[in-house]
Amino acid sequence: MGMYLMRQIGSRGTYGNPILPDFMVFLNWKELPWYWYGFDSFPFAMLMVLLAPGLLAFVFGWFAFRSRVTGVYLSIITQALTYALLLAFFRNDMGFGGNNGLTDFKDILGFNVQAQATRAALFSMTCVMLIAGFLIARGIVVSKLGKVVIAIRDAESRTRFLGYRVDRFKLFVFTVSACMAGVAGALYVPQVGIINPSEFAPANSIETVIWVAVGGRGTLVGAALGGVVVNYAKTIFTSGFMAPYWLFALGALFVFVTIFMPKGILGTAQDWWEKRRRPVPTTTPPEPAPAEGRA
Amino acid sequence: MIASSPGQLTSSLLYLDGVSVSFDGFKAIRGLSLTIEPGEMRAIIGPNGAGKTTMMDIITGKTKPDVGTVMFGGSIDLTRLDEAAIANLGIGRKFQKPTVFDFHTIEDNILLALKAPRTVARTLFWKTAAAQQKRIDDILGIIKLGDARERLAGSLSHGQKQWLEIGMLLAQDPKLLLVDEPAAGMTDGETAETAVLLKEIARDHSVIVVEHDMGFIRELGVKVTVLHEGSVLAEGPLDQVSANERVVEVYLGR
Repeated sequence: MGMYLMRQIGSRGTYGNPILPDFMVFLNWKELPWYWYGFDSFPFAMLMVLLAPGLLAFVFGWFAFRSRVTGVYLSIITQALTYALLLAFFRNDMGFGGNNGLTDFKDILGFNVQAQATRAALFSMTCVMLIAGFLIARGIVVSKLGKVVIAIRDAESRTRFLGYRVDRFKLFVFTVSACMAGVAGALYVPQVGIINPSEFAPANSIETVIWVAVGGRGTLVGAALGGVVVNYAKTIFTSGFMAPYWLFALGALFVFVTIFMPKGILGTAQDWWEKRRRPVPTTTPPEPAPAEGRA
Repeated sequence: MIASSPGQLTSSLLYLDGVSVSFDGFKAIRGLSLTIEPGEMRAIIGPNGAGKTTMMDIITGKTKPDVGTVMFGGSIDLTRLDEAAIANLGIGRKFQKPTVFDFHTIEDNILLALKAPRTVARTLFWKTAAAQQKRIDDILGIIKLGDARERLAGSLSHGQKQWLEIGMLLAQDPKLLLVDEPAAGMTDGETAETAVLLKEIARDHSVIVVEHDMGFIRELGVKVTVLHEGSVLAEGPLDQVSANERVVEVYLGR
């Protein structure tokens, strides 16, 4: 999205080059790198929004899941990957503006990105996409595929012995979530007005985990709810005298939720509601320990 | 013994010959040979560390043998396939520790095991047909969990989990079932019912049962193979095997 917006600046940049973005002129680049071609077209850019992260996730997931990298090791490798990307994109030679990133956007589809109407439209689009993302995720979760994925989470080798190719199911959900993240990024860039490599920082992935923990693990609404709550808190915290303490507050929030609300806002609210309606619980919850086949 | 050439058809459903595997120098299986005929039920016994579970790991593709032949249905080389491919060929496995999907309902556990296409696309757009629903209902009846279908599998007792897992094997409709200690941790009453259930299953499936419980094996009344230190020590009816001096020696220590 940033690349599209850069190309839309055209000759209105500081250096007035109709093709090259300012940072390339500044670095004395003579022509547009091949991977910038096509990004002046909105449909092409939108296709890439889905395709680029989807493809990266597919290739990465293909190797990781085939080698049966699981659990905390997978988390570490994905974090290492985004950190590697962070370092790579910080280099000016990469052709994405180095540590300044892409900014100074002018318009999107001919509308001024700073105009109130455009911003309202982008915000509405974000809501529409949130609902679309929710519906897609919901469709996956309630399907038999969703059941297979839960089965993999709880007893991976059992699922394999039932004849499911566990790696392909993981690859599917990994790729779908990468595409969703791509859409989220494309909506983020024009509304924030800048995108630079620091967004690759592993802290961002950790923050996402906190959204889910706060909202309610194992639910779809909880993830969205957590995202809104944590970011609202972030807005309040980072814009006043408390700004230096935001990361401490975030950490404290995570610790608080883990200890006192292990099911997050949604799970806690549900429990409270159930208790009010039916004081005596009749079902015993199963042990959460993941059952694996004997080694 | 003549090594089997590719494409040769043996009449056996499962054929292991000269199979060896070692872990860090420890030979878990050494020169194991075993054949299972179609429709046969076989009990496998042996002291701890005899290689019973490793043998199941080899058949189901979890462990690759260092040397040896593992053929299924006369012509399929199992050593070249992974777990999912072997499961889809028709080899089902029940683990020693009952392994069901705790956070799924009992009915969903059976649905997941039900013989059906296992690809990503086909499961995403899955609709349970009436015939398949009937099959699920039948299996729930056989394992006596029909009334509990909406309950989470994690809330079942140990014995019920064992049955649910046997039900999942039935749903897979495999040609060969590998059952690891189905009576472990069961009450005497449950053990007897499990023996009846397995005999019922053995009518139209081949079954390999690994078990320590001699009483249970006597109830099954089938041919017994005794494993010791990774190879076959004795084979035959239970009475004959338990009269074998070597077997007694191995079981009671020398």
